[in-house]
Amino acid sequence: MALQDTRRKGLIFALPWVIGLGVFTLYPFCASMYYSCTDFSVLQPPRLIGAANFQEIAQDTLFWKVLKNTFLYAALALPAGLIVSLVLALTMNAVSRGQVLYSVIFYLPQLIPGTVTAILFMWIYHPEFGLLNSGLRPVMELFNPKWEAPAWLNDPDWALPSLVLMGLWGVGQSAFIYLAVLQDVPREMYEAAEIDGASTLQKIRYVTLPMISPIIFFNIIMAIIGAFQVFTEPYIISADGGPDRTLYFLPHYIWDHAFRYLRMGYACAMSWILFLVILGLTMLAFRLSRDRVYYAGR
Amino acid sequence: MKAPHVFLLILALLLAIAWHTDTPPLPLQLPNTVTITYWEKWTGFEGEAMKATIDYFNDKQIRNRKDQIIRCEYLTTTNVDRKSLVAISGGLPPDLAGFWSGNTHVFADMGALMPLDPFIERDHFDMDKFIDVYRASCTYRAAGRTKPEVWCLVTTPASVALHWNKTMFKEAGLDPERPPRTIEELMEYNTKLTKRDEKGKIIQMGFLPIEPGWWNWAWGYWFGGQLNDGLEKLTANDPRNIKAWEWVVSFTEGYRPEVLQAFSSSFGSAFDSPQNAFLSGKVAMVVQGVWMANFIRFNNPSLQWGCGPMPAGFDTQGQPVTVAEMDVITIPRGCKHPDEAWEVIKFLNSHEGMEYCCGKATNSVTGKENTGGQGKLTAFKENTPGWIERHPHPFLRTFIDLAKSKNAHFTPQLAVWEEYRSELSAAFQRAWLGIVTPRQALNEVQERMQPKLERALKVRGYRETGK
Repeated sequence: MALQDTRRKGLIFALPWVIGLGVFTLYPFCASMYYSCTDFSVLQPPRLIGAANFQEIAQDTLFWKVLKNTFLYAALALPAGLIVSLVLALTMNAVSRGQVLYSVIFYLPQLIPGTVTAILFMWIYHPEFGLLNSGLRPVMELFNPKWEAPAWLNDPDWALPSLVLMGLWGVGQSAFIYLAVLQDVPREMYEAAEIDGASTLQKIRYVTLPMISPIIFFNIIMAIIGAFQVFTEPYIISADGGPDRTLYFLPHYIWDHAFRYLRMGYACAMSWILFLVILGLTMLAFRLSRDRVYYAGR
Repeated sequence: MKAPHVFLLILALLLAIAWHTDTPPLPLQLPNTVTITYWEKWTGFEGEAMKATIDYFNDKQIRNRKDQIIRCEYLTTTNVDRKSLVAISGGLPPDLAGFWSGNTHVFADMGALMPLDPFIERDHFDMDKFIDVYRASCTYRAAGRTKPEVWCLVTTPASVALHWNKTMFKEAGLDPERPPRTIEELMEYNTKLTKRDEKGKIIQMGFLPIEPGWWNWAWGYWFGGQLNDGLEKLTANDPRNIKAWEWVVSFTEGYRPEVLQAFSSSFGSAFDSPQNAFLSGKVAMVVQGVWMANFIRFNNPSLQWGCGPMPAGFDTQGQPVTVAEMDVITIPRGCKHPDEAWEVIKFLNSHEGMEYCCGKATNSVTGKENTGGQGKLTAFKENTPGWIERHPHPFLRTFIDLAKSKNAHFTPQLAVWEEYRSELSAAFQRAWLGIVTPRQALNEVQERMQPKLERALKVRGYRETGK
């Protein structure tokens, strides 16, 4: 009786979340699967067309370019974010005083909305008046007065790296998580390594990294998902996809089809491809991590 | 009290508070009044002018057939087309929605708008008073319909012209009262007006086709080209379009891409700021719309400027080329008060309403004169005597004449227009950056978009002949 009552109470408490999940996640998720097989403009009822959307995607050259851009962004942003946040956390961990202050400073950019960050960086990267080029120009002139500072977001060759660089602005959050877990690594393990004559680098390689590997893995998974869903910053920087469409990523392409070209069915089909890509990469990460992540509880 | 009950009570309380604080106050319900809603895109002084025009409508206390006073609630709405899209599909649209001439036909194709013909016929509304290009832009044979119908009417029309800086002309030894009349002259002027510093950096240009870059897709019009042949065939790679783009891209010859890049990036990002290339004297000639006079007045009132038709690369036979676009007002399907909405449209498309919205005019009810409205032309062939003379735009007649020209083009009413324009813009950029030639760029657009158009027409069951 008591168990049944507890179960009933538990269910009632969980109900708002279950309803939210059903209405706002599960239903759209299933509906998008149906819509991906339809021609659906939002304004008119969907019309079943089978796999035609997927066939069209296969022949859509721009889709492949956009998908390539997205992979390229992920391939650059993922390791860059990982390395910088880890180095930041290790440095903060090594500092004996003011750790909280540094953590707050590095975390602060995380509180700034993506739109504001994008606008801020558009000015930093401004080829003529930007902070970056204002600093670069005198240095470049020292080497060769004919050198021109890059146009960053306006240059097809520099736009993507600039966006990746901009993404590092938000590494504070993962650095914060790393810092928390770094402080949890047992001190005696470092002492044992020191007795064995390990250098600082060796201690990081053989003690720190294995001990924090579950968190590194968690951050990698989050970064994969985040990188493939990048939208706000590139959209604010250029609603047309940037120079030679180098900043045109899959979420933006999906959005264009859904709300500008009124092709919700096609957009849903592309969303499913994006979902499968993220799912596949996440599964791959799990598989590759099997022997590389150390869980103390196992 | 048991825990779940407490929880439910708290939840109910929170919902009640949220409802109380988030629910907007209901519109003021005056006796014998019917209130309708109008979603419109404008902000700033243009929004104020539009709002003042709606206030003028409300001041007039126009009545519907049931003798109720119509009261229009004006709501500034960003992304009005997307929000209307959701509202229409959700069955709760506003009574009036302000769109652009470029996307109204797509909404009409989807059955999202009410045709205005029944109202026009019932009230014997005169469509012939409109300049041809604006009237044509409102008319479209939508998918599934047997004849062309009127889907929208005008709020604020526009056309574009060449603006030139007289001071810069004088400094370059050019006659400030004589703008270039041919493409060749424009190139000559450009050479004379372009200046570089000792390092080769451009500090001033005569003409830069990518400034402001809003009509890059339309350059073909100035060389006699067309973007489509009817509604079923795209002609992106029309030889005249290619010629136009080759001419435009020729401006990059002799410059390293980064030199032009550095120059064009020195303009402010907002066109309506004092850093605008034309307002700040960095580019001597630009193609801009009728609205530019407002921004000159606000940001650089001492600027000596003139405006006239942009030269064309073909024999126009005295009919100058322009792009004549406009902001329009529509009645979404499923709205609650279509008859009352039509009364608002009728007022906005009367001389009284549009002249008040677009220029200097007097509210006949309150007796107050506005400060110049949106500072644009009207869509009428003839305006009220004296209205043009009182208008704040010093060259308004130029824009009216351009709109009346046989070479005034409006946005093609294509099923895939939005995507077509996006592709043209991307292709233009590739050509401008020298990644591909104009011919290659336009061929790519043609190859990509023609099948998409055919597919869209097939899905919508659209045939131009109406069969």
